[in-house]
Amino acid sequence: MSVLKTISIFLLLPLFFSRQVSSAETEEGKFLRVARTGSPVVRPQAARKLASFGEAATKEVRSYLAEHGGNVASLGPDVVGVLGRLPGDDIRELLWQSVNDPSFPWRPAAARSLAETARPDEFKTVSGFLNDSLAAVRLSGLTALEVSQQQSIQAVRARLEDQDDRVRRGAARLLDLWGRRWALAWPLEELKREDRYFESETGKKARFAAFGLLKKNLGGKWLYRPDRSPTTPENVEAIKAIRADWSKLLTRPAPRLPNVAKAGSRIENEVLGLEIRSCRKGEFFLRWTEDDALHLGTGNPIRVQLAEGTVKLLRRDLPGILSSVGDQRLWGDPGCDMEVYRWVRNPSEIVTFVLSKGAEKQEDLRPEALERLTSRLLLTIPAGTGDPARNSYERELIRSALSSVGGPVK
Amino acid sequence: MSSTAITFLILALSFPGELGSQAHSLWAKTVDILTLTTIDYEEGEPLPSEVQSLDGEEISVSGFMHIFRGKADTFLLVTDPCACNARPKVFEFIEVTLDGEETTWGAGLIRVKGTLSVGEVKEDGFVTSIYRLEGKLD
Repeated sequence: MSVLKTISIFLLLPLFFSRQVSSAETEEGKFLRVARTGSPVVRPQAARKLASFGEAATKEVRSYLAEHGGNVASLGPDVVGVLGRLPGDDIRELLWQSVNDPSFPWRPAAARSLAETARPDEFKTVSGFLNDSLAAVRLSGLTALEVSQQQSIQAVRARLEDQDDRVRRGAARLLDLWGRRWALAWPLEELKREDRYFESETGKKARFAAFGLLKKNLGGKWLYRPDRSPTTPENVEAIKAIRADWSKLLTRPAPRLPNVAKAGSRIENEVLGLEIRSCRKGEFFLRWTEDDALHLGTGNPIRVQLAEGTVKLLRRDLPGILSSVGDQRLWGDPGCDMEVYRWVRNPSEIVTFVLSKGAEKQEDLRPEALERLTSRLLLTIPAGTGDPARNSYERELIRSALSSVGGPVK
Repeated sequence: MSSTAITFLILALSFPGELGSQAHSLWAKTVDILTLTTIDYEEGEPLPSEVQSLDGEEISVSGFMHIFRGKADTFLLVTDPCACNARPKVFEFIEVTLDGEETTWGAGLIRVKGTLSVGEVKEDGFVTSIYRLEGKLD
């Protein structure tokens, strides 16, 4: 018996030690794990730390991918966002494949990673991000040009007419950096923004961002307060002072701003809103107002006049359409894909319905009531108008974005 | 202002320790959440003075709940109603802890009053928050 025991111990010892070794997590292994599955707040920090391990981090990522069937998306956006810093042509190739794959959920992270680390032979391809359908990828196009010091003035100038204010601001900043001081006309205009999208103070957020940019790039000290209305006497004076300081730097007359960049007036008579945020299809902001208009975008949105009575009919039918929803306001789990419906039931009450999910497909997230509402709303959205600005809100694009979040609209 | 409110104010000024949080909520300084969340942040670097000066202050601040499931006495207050930024950066939210109450997630704008604490808090080597607020839903 004792001989058997001894033999068993000898047989089991190697197993015991091998388990000890395999369960001991390396530092880079720990950072990869936290960057994938830790709390959302610490994931980017863990990803940065992982990247600092260089070759060891590459090995860890390769090993992870080998164990997970090469599924790059399962690394999550924070790890994907640092892959460009890791040594290894195979890793970089994976990033390129990811950014070129429209179904890859973390394209903005992959694009940013490539842009921040752009190599000379990639400059042309990376600057192609400027024309991507996702605003976050277009922003990476600007980063790529800044990193590579490629002064593609015309390409960046075209982005001053972008539908997304972050992209317009980024383009203005870059042009100013390249000595085109006139481009600061864009953030200067934003100091006057007061727009909202329902409860969201989109104008105020733009004022904060624009003022931050002007302070950095013009280096002045003004009494402008972005948290206060731009129409207060103090802010009116401050805007004048900033404009005067900027004007002194101009070597040509101040440019005319496109409509999309002008500070629009506040839209007061909102009835219904549809906001779509899709990891793969981008962001869309639509709202229907009492005066039978559909507004596309935020800031100074495009106004589409609808047939008389369209919104009145919608308003009349809404309680019936939404009655089966009951008290439920949230479907799915927090993630990068969202559909947000806002209904101004009365002047002091906005009822909000949110569908939310992660990157994985989910066919039937949208409840029947919201399905019916979505079908009705889609009918009011113009189909192909020929106007490039409106085309970014073309009906089939919206349908496709909805499909990628709550499932196909029947 | 009603006579009750005036009496309360006088009492609050006379006995601030006795009337604690109610008195504080009356005098809370209104802070715009964007003032906190639009700073240039670098880990380990000093925070801007206008933000540091709010440490320990009684404040009142509006924002939106970052999306969560079920009931909680702690949530993240963010600037965006759609909770669309699934990964708020560490300086882009206020970690709110409610005094003796729980809440469920709601999509609307909310106001919170309480004591703001400013500065990096680290756990396991990672910064987990910059702004924390202990207080009540207003």
